[in-house]
Order: sequence, then structure tokens, then C-alpha cells
Amino acid sequence: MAVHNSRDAERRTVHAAYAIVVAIFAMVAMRLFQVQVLEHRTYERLARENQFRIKRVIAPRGVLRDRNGKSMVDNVAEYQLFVDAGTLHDGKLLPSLARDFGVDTTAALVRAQTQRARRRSHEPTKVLGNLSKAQVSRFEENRAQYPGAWLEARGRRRYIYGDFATHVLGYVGEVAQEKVDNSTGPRAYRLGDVSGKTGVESLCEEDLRGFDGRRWVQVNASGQELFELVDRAEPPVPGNDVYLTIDFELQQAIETVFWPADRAGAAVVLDVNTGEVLAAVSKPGYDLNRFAVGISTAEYEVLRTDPLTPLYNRYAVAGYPPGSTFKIISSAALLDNHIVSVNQYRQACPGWYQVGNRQFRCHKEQGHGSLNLLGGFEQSCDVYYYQHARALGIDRLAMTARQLGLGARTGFALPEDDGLIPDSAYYDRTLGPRGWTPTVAVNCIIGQGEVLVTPLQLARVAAAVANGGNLMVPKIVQRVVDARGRTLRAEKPKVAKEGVLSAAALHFLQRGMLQVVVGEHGTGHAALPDSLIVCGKTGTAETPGKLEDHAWFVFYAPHDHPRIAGVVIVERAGHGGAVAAPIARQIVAQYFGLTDEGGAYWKRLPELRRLGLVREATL
Amino acid sequence: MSVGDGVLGTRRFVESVDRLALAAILALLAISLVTLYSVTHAPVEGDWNRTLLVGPGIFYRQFVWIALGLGALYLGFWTPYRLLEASAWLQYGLSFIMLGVVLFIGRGTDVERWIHIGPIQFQPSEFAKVALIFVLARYMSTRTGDGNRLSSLLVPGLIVLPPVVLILKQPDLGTALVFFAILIPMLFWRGLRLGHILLLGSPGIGFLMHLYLRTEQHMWWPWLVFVLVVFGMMLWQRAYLWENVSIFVANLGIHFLEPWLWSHLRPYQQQRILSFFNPELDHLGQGYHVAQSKIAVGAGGFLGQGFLEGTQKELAFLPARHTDFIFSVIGEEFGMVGGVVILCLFALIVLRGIAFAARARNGFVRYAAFGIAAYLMFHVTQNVGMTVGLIPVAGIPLPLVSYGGSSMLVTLFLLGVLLNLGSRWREY
Repeated sequence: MAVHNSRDAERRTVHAAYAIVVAIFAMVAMRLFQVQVLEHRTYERLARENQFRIKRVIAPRGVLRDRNGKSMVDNVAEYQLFVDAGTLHDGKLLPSLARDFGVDTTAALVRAQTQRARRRSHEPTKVLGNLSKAQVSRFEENRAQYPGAWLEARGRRRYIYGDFATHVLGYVGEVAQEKVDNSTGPRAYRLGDVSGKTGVESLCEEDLRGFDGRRWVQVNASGQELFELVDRAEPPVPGNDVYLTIDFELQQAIETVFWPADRAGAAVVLDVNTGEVLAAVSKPGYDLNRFAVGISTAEYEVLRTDPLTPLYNRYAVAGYPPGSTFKIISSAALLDNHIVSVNQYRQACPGWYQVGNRQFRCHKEQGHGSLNLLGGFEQSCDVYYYQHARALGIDRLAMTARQLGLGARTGFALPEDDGLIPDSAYYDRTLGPRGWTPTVAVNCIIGQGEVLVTPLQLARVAAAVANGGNLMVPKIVQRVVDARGRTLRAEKPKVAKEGVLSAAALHFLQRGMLQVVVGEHGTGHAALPDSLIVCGKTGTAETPGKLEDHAWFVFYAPHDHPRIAGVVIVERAGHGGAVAAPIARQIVAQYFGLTDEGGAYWKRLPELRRLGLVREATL
Repeated sequence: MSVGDGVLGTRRFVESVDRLALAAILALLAISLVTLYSVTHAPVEGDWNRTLLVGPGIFYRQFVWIALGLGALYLGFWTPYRLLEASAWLQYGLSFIMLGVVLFIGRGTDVERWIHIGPIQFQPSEFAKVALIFVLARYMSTRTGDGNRLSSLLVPGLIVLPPVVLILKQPDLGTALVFFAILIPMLFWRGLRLGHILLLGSPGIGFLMHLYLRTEQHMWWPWLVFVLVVFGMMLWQRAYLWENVSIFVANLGIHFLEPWLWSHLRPYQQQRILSFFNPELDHLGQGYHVAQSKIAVGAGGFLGQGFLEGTQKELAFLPARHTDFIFSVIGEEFGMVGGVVILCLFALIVLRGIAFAARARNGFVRYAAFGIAAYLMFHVTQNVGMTVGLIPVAGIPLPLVSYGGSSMLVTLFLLGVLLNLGSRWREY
């Protein structure tokens, strides 16, 4: 065919071109007809089954470490069983899961119901957690029998040492419904998520939880992953590690070695210069892991009704009568208000003190003889303090106590109690303006009556005596470190109040707390380790009822350049000097790495005399 | 444009433009916006499992591209075709240089196709397609003779070869095929018989058969049968003896050339080809995308799921649901009806283009209009064919509908030229 020879050929070409174009488009349209009309049902089913799931990859929760980096809480893999919310009601899946794995059908349905009510039906429903190895392999082998159910590995919180530092670390649990409802945005909580419930787990929740990632996977009708869009994957950002100020060795030793068996109580050890909490013990504790896997009602009931109340945080939330340890505060009040001077002796202590028709007993029935303030403090003579109580008055006592941070929160990041420092307004309020007499001061001045302090508050007072009068904010979180090891935040020591003690009071208290341990009549001999010198104050707080007294010991060490201060209280255990002081000694020995056999006082007396530390304070 | 054309030539444009074709173009642009709106907007706010991967910014940016594209269309309309004809070889040379440049300085992950000038990036291959149309049109309009002689095919073949070689080096098999999709219809328009095209294409068909047989354990007797059929056709077409001999030799050569060529394909190209012939081989890669696209289209049914109601578009499988695979979204939401409407609109433009070419008196106009129609035809059928599993995946967007600037500007410019050619058919 040549261009010159025919119009016909040209016309034929044009027509052929039209025909080809129409034919090709018709072919494509026929293909559309085939796919969209003839095979529509097939593809519609495929589309329905085409479950491209965006699976969440839960970020590993940050690790809790002690001040030296030792991990105290980490994560282990746990298998959880999920089902599609839509398959819950098909009447076959749940019963077979209940039969083969013991899934709680009612609970699963309730959960799905809640999800639906909150328009979250498209999220999978967790029906079982913490599957055993046997259960996992059983599921995997018979996967086809459970269409719509699948396993997911998630990190479970592991409290490596079980009941260690229970009331510091806290536990995690399934996030509360309320929190799910109130959280929005990319980090929103979903039903079944884990969140910190108490302690540092709750305090540092935002740091610990990290950022969840996502995977784009296609799953078949039985929930098995077929395919993942790897380039779409958004890996999770692990939570930040939280370094606590806790010294693991110390806390562990207090809880497991030093503590008398079957006794409740608390101990707090602070760094006197920074306010860092080196140990915060509340005995007894409980195994945090039980909460992490979801505690059963029965188990919880056992904990709740335990007479030693392990659920109760004693080191910061419990208000105790401070007993004679309160004489630290009383002495400061007496000196600052010029009620007594250091060397002024008072009439002899006969073992009791009469106000009107009421007799206040000294803890030493035969009496102490005539003492000055130092002697009264050293031997913890109640009568010495009784004698000055009314001159001081309840309000001036309360003012000094408040000055020292009692009766109010310390600024500690975890839950704590105010304690109670009564003043005349308090009595007016509770007993009525005419319902009380100034005699209340007689009881309060020795830390009885209405006075309540928390161990943490008292430890802070000891630290203030040791560091020259600065009331520190107790610190529990040392720093936060992200997964790449970069420090995000390192909290600086915070002083709550400076110069809370006058020079005279400070001088006296340091001298007095030394004397309690090293003085020949001191009540705290048992706190003296083989080397180094501890300062302290014993306390034996009477408790309502005929039960045994609470044994207190407040201390700091070493005496010349103090580094740690602390408190030990053992409930219903007897004398502070006999029960609490030895624990304090072991704490000091542990912290400073000393050998410690106990009973060192009489051995070391000559040495103490040579150093000129022992002073005669009895007339 | 001259006095009397109205402001910026609008009056002349409105009076002389082919309204049918223009209406089809505008309708397709509107469909593009509607579909992109659907792709970028979730029906259920905050539904976590139905996250859209394409942000709404795409939708708004497409407005800008369309506005610029309409400018390009207008520019194309007002570009004197004689200027295009005169500068054809210059365009061809420039595009050749750019294709060379992109091989050396082009950036990219593993394939280099783009040239970046500041914030602007474009594919020289797009420009090369345009230049090819005009060069071929110019060459064919100045030569006469029997379009069926192999010698008359030689020069067009030589014109196509350099850009194709450069593009294959990038490597971009899909785009290289576009050049043949322009060349062959233009040869046909020049008078090459369909039977001859089949014979000419027989080595290519033999090549494809070899590729297919790779998935069948290299069982090659079907190819032998095919070669015998070709031989039979040649006996019927005896007039062209020496052409027939060459083609027959080429057919046999394929058998030895194919393994060599295959070893020079990039792994992803091999994968694409294999997965097209046998989707089972590649459940997770290219074949997977096609399978998913078919599911979306098939799920649409006759009337579609409805605007914004498609579910497959939200899922992650469609890698380019706003660009190359936009037709599957249309298929799902508007069904076969929507798909056929789009095909009809494109067919309308193509047929109008052929009509322009047929009635033109000027040789360049004849061939250029037909070349542009072929260009559009190939892009549309390749893209739609790919989404419904008729043709292997090649990274070609659906003209006028897919999101993206490069393709939008080039296509609308060419359509502007086409409208101009259509309005000037009387000129010699």
C-alpha cells in the first residue's frame, strides 16, 4: 500500500484505527465486566477476608533501676490470646476457647460489650493473658480450630525480687476504664493496656510507657499473619529507664537480713546532703508480680485482711506516735524559746511527774536523778521534759515541729501523709475551746498524745540536724535515661527550707544525738558499729491498748561528716534502743561497708573517751 | 494569536476548540479530584483500624497541579504547530542529552529517572516521549513510499532506538515500551498493514513466550509451534521476501537472545515479569499488589460501594492508590459503571484525536495528532489493564486522573496541542 495510490487505503486505515481503539477499550471494559460482575462475589468475599490489620507493637516498658544501674524491674514476654470482637458471638469460638484454655466466657463478653459501648469494636478483644508454654503450643498446633483468635506476645512486667521495695516500685495493672475513656491522641490507652498503678510505676508512667509502634500485616481468615509491609513498619520507641535513688544492696539487706521476722514497720535512709532516698522500707511487703499478672479476688482478699497489712505503705503514709524521738523537736523548742539553757539542771526525776491529779510516768520507774538538758536527752528522761512542757506551751512546740517539716507533706513524689502536729487551734476544733487544758503539752512534748509523724518526715529531721539545718525534699527518682542511653532528666537536690534550726539548737542536737549513742547512760549504745560513730535518738512509743510499744531509732552517720540519716521503726516490738537501734547500726555498717558484730560499745568506750566524745551529764 | 482572538486568545479558543474532547478532559479532571478526595478522607473519623496513608494535602495540591495543567493545555493550544515541527529535531536532541544527563547526575535510590533543578524535578523521559511524537511526525510527513518495506521502517526504528537504550539503562522497561507504543501506531497510520505488524512483532511475541515458559520449567515446544505459524504467515505474504527472511531469523535469534537479555534485567524487573505470568510465584510482591487491586475493583461490583465507602483503599496494600493504582479506588467506589464512564471519556478523546488526524490536510498535523492519540491510548490501557490484571505492572500513572505534576503537565500540554491540531485541520 502506497500513500499515492488510494484514498481507499487511507479510509481503510482510518476505520481500522477506530476499530482497534474501540476494540481495545471494549476489551478492557469486558475485563471490568468479568472482574466486577461475573467474579464480583469472589472478590467481595476476598475483600471481606482481606484483613489488613494495623497491629500495634506495644513499646517495651522502661526498666526501673537502682542508683547504681542495677535493674530491679524489667519485662518478660507473655503470650496473650486475642479474638476479633466480631467473632465473639458466633457461638463456636468462645466455647471452644473456654473448653481448651479455660477462657472466662462471661468476662470476655463483658469486655467486648464495653468495647462496643465505647465504639471500639474494631479493636481486638483480649480474652486470656499469661498463657503457659503448653497452652501456646496447643493453640499454635490447632490454630485452624479457632478462626478469629490469635496469640500476641506482649511484655509483662517482671518484679525481679518479688516483694522487694514494694511501696517504692509499685505495680502495674490493666489500665482503668476511666483512663481509657479520657485518653486521646496517638498515645491513647486501649482496653487491656498496662499502666502503672502505684509507686514509681505510676509516678513515672509517662516516661516508662514509651511510644507504641505499628505493623501493617495481612492476616487470613484464621488470624494468621501472611504478609507484612516491612517498609511501613513503625518500630516502637521503648520507654525510658528510670534510675531511682534507692541503693539496691542497702534496701535488700534491710528487708531481708536486718529486719526481725514477723514484724511490721518501716525504715527510711536519706542522703543528708541531697535528700535522696537510699532506702525506703515498709514491712511487710507483698509480691508485686501477683499484681502484674492480674491478681485474683481471693488472693487480694488474703492480702487485704492480713493483720500485718502489707498493702499499707508505712514509710510515708503511716502516721506514728514518735515517742522519745520527738525530743529532738522538743529540745529545739525549749532552747529556742529560752525555756532552758543547756547546762541548767532541773530538780531530780523521781520516776513520775504530777500535774493536778494526773501522774505522768517516766519510762524509768526508779527515776533519773537531777539532769541537765543533755542528760535528759541522753537518757531520754520524760520527767525532764514534762517539767518544762507547760512553760513552753503546745503552740510553741507545734511551731518548732512545723518549722522542722512535721505535720505537713515533705514534697515527696510518692503518696505520703501529713502526720499530725496538734496546736491549740487543733484542740479547740476537736475538743472545743473549753474541752482541753494546757496539760496536753505534757503528753505531746515526749511525742505521745495526738502527735503523729511519718518515718519519712522524721528521717528528714535527722538529715537536717546532720547537714546543718537544711530541710531537704526527699527525692526518689534520680534520673531518666532513654533507650539510647541519653540522660533526659537528672533531678537536682531541692532544699525545702534552709536554716530550720537555730545555731544553739543545732549545736545541742548534734551533741545530744552523739551522746545518746556514746554516753555511758545513753540509750542508743546498740547503734554503735565496730568502727565509725553513729548519732541517734531512741524512741519507744506507747500505743493504744495493751500492745507492745513501737521501737524507734532516728540516726545519722558518721558523726563528724554526716552522709546518711535515717529512721527505723519496728511496730510493737519493744524498746527502741533494743530493737530499732541494732537495725540502724546494721544499716550504717552496710552502707559504709563496715564489719559489724554488734555489742561494740563497751569495747570501744576507751577509744571514745580518748577522743573526748563521752561527756558526763548527770549531776 | 491575533487581534480578534479575544483576551489572551480566549475567544478564538472557545470558538474553535473541539468542545467534546475538551468536555471529556474536564470531566476526567473532576473525577480525579473526587477520587483523590475519597482517597484522602476517612469516612470514620478516628477509626484506628482504618487509617488513611495519604494525607489530605495531596487533594489540595492536586488543585494546583490541575490549575497549572490547564495552563499547560492552553499553552499547548496556542503553540504554533509549525514551531513544534521546525524544532522537532532540536527537542529530540535536547531530550537525548537530558536522558544522558539523568544517567550520570540523576539521583534516586536504585533507579535514576528524575532530574532535580532546585525544587523542580522532572522525568526527561516524559519530555522524550513528546519529542519522539513530533520527530516521527515530521519525518513521516516528509517521506513517501511503501510503508510496508523494511527499509522504510529502518529510519523510524533508528529514531526510537537511542532514547529507548538510554531509558533501558536507567532502567525503566515500562517507559521504554511507551516509545514502541507511539512508534508502531504511527507506522500503522503511515500504512503499515496489521498483518505485517504482527510479523514484525513476532520476535517480541516469541520473547514474551520465552519469558512465560520460564515459569513453566522452560518447556519450549509451544514456541516452536508459534514459529511455524509465523512461517506460514510469511508464505502468505510472499511479496516481501527479504523482510520475511530477516524476521524469521530474528524469531530464531530470540531463542538465543532471550537468556542473555534476561540475565541483564534487574531483579525487580525479572520479578515483575515472572509474577505477572504466574502470580502464585510472588504472593507478597508485585503480583500481590495486582491481586489486591483486583480485589478492590472486583469488590466494587456493578454500581460500586459508593463515594467514600470503599474499604480497600484504606488498607495498606495499594502502594500507590493515589497515583498509579487510582483506578482501583474508582473501581471499588463507583463500580463497573464508573470504570466504563472513565474508559468512554478516554476513548472519546482518543477517537477525536484520530478524527483530527484523519481530516487534517497537513502531513505533520496528521501524524502528530495520531501520535498524541496513541500516546494517550497506551497510557490509559496500560494503567487500567495493570489494575485489573491484564498487563504487567509498569509504573505508569493514569493520565489526567492520577495525582502528580509531571504527568499532568505533559499530558495536558499534549492535549492542548491536539486540540490546536484539531482546530487547524484545514491548513495545508
